[in-house]
Amino acid sequence: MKAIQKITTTVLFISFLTLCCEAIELHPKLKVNGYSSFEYEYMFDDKGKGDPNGSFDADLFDLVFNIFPTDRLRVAADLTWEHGSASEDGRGNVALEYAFGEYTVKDSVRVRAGKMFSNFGIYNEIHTAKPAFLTVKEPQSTNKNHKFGSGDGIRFYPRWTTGLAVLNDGMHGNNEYDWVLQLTNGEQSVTNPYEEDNNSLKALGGRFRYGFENGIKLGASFYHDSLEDTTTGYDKQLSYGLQLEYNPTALGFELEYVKGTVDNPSGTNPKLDRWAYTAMFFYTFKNKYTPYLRYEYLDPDKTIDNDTANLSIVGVNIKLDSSITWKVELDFFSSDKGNARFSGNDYTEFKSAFAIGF
Amino acid sequence: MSLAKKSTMKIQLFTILSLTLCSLCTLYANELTSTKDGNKPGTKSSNQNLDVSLIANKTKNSEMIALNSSEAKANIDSESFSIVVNSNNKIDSINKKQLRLIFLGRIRHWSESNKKLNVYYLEATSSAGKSFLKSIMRMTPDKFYLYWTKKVFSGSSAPPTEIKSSSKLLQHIADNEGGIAIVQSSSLKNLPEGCKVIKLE
Repeated sequence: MKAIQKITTTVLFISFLTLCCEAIELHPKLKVNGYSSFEYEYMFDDKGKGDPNGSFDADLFDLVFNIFPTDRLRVAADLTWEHGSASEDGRGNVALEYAFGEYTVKDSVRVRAGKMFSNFGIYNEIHTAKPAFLTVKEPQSTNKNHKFGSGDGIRFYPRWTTGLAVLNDGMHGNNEYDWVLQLTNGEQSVTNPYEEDNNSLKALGGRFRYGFENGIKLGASFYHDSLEDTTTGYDKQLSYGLQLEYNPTALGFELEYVKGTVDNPSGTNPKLDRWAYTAMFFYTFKNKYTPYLRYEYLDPDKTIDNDTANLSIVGVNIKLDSSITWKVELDFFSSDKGNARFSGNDYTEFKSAFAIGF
Repeated sequence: MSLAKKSTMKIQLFTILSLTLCSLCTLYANELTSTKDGNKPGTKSSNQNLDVSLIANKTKNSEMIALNSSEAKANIDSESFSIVVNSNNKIDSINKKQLRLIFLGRIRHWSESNKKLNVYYLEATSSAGKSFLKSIMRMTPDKFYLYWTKKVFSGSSAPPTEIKSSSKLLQHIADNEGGIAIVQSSSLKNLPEGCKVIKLE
């Protein structure tokens, strides 16, 4: 415990120096960035999964390091302290969001090894970085389906994964594209998947994105895993997603669709089939105010008729200066009675957050 | 109040708020398009199509780049920007596409020397920064920040370094063989040793 405290103190001290001292911040071989979020949530209704007491949340504080030991090698890490971490009291969470080495073979091709985010859809890689998106939380139906009524508790894809990745980006005329392939341990609950896989078949995931000059961006993702989970009985998992983004001017929208299956040979439903989507519209005016509307939908099991959940959000993101935004929104949760999390108890929640990026 | 009635009320409230927001947005969008150049959102505005031209600078070894519009020419001293590299760098010119790809993080090394690019720019909200972002990157400062916020925090890439002072920025280029920077052209009067200005083709 003392060792962890020493390392944490050292990291924070170096980061403080780095932030205060331009010379270190601007060293060509080290760059430090970070973000933080402070939130408040209040549920208006008596029943529901929101917060009826109205609570403040020291949501997170993250430091992001980019280190360049050589001209071709980049070491990147994101260290997070969530919910006012206090290890002595067992409160909050300290985690390594990612830590990997990346070698640039040539400018368009990079090879990565370590713990990293799964490259799937629009939000997974930025889900903790609150300054990088408009709403208080990332979409739950497509990114947090295990907390949106998927009774099985399995996400469409794991948030983090450990292994190898190949990344490519380039230009096709004036249009841009990029793709990534990840070969990793995947997800399971038997061992620590960031250290040891519980089966010999590795998970394979990938994404392709194509951005047109006019601002339309299309993308497709997939994730295939062999869970072989003795605790849950789940076996093969396959998910794929489609995404559409458009934000060339003040007006913008996003659409994400995810579909997935999980085999459970020993279960009552041998093939779990589920799907979800998220759609969002927003408009920025005076370079400061961005009202947004988002709708989310999840069908956690297509064989069950009354288990769907949906969320409608109306809110505004106000840019207070270049590094801080204030988000205010109303979240309207609605569900069927058979939904494993919400059980048909509809509720409305007020959410607000200050997000800082540096 | 029954559950059904409660749900109906929420749907109604959401619909009303949504419609209000949409109306406000539409009104504001109409106001913008009627007061500007009449382009619809999503199409290129006249500002986005501005050509970049090279205009001879008074300083010895440099050329200034300015927006080829009457408004830009009128404010040429405050809005023009130049591209500076380390004097050991063998390149003398760069084209707009290459420059854009460098600042998007897609070109990461100098092809001639194989050295890693270290990218600097004068703060995006400065007049030179805005001019560069508009004419080369086709972005506002906010969009540029958001682009890099997503890239950095997703672990995709390290960001270019924004510096507020031109003199400090030039000193970084002088000290760093792989450096490239966007600076305000007026700051080239005090170009330190170890820096040179390259042309934009």
